[in-house]
Amino acid sequence: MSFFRSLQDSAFTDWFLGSESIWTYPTVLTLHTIGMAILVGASFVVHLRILKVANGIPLQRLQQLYRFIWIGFIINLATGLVLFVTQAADRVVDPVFYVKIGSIAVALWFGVLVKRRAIDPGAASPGVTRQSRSLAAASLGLWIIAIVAGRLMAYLTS
Amino acid sequence: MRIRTRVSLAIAGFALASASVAAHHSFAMFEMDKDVDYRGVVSEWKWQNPHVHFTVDIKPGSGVDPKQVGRWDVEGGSINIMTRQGWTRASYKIGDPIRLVGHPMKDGSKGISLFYAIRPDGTRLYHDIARPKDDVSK
Amino acid sequence: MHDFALWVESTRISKALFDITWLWPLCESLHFVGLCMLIGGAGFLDLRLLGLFRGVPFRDVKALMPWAIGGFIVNATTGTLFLIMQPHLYLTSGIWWSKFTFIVVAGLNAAFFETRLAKPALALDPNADMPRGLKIAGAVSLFSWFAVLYCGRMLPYLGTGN
Repeated sequence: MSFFRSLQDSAFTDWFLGSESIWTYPTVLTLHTIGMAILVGASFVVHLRILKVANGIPLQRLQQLYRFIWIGFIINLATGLVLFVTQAADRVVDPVFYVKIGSIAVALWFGVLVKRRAIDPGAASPGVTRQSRSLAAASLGLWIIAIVAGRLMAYLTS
Repeated sequence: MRIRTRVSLAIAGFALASASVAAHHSFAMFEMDKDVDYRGVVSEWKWQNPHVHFTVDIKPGSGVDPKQVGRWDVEGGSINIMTRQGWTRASYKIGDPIRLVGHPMKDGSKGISLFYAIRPDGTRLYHDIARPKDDVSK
Repeated sequence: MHDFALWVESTRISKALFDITWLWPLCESLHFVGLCMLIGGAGFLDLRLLGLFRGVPFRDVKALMPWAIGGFIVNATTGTLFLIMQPHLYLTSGIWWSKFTFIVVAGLNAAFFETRLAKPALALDPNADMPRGLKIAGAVSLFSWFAVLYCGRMLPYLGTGN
């Protein structure tokens, strides 16, 4: 517990949150939103296709969308870590934080399962199966939960 | 089923968490069209993003409304916006007397959304661009 | 603008809506979900116009458009609600007007695309290179929507500047 407190009360946090420059907190927060748009936006297109919307899109083409999913994820992992450090002690005891991180982890995992089962060329049963559609639907639902949890967290910051 | 269980667990956890949202900070939780005058002493001062945050202690005394006695959580805006309105990190410090006008919490708890502080010379330090209809001077 | 904002905030509808404590946070969450739908759908279209995802027929990309438009409608609605509840946060802010301008630019670009460029795009071979005009339309759209996002997110920091 005191490790997280030391992060939240660190000189870095004081500098980062106390800076009047828009290149510190405001920019990191905006990059986090941009990462979200790329990550969830790309996931949204993939899963819509799996759910039979835009049915004509060749499944293998969706592979390229995963590049954007990973780009968005890396931007948000990096910016998220910075933001976490500045609120570490508050977040580590916040259930909404765990809902957010848990939802992201499972949503990503389901996205990877979809890729392996329906999209990758060597897929055991290529094409869209009922299981793939369930995973896609669940993933979309979890992304929505992650977004809402992220918003609510802002209201629980002390 | 694995998927359904996980999603249900996530939703349940989320529902539990949202019950505690009433904590603080959504500015929708303040009565934004109520302006109340407070005079006290600064007991905490956090000049930081996303919100400048300080606490004000109001002690009982003559002329002090008993309902106001106690420690109040005052929430301001971002450093960037407040700086543009004339605030600085050094505007107040712990121990300074302060007079401010703000919007109280709807549920009656001791939280204030900062509207403006009033300097000893009577001029106002607004927290953002909002001005009351009767704005006399900045 | 300032007086107009104060007037709006004095109306019954503004007060009634803002009085619903959970409405503002709900609108914020919906606004974020909507932007993911919009940038996902429109972004995919724009990247296709820029030449990525070769082999995907244009007709199939367009089938995603109702979802992008759905995201836009969610955001236009929640955005309007924000404007009704707390107009003073927006109407006197240069950054908010920049956001609004980029929305108009993206919209005009989309209308131009629909009326002039959509037909030739649909006729293209899915494996062909994209002509210059389509690439420009895609680039303008992609840039505009991210500019909208940037301006919106920076509002509490760059907003209400003099």
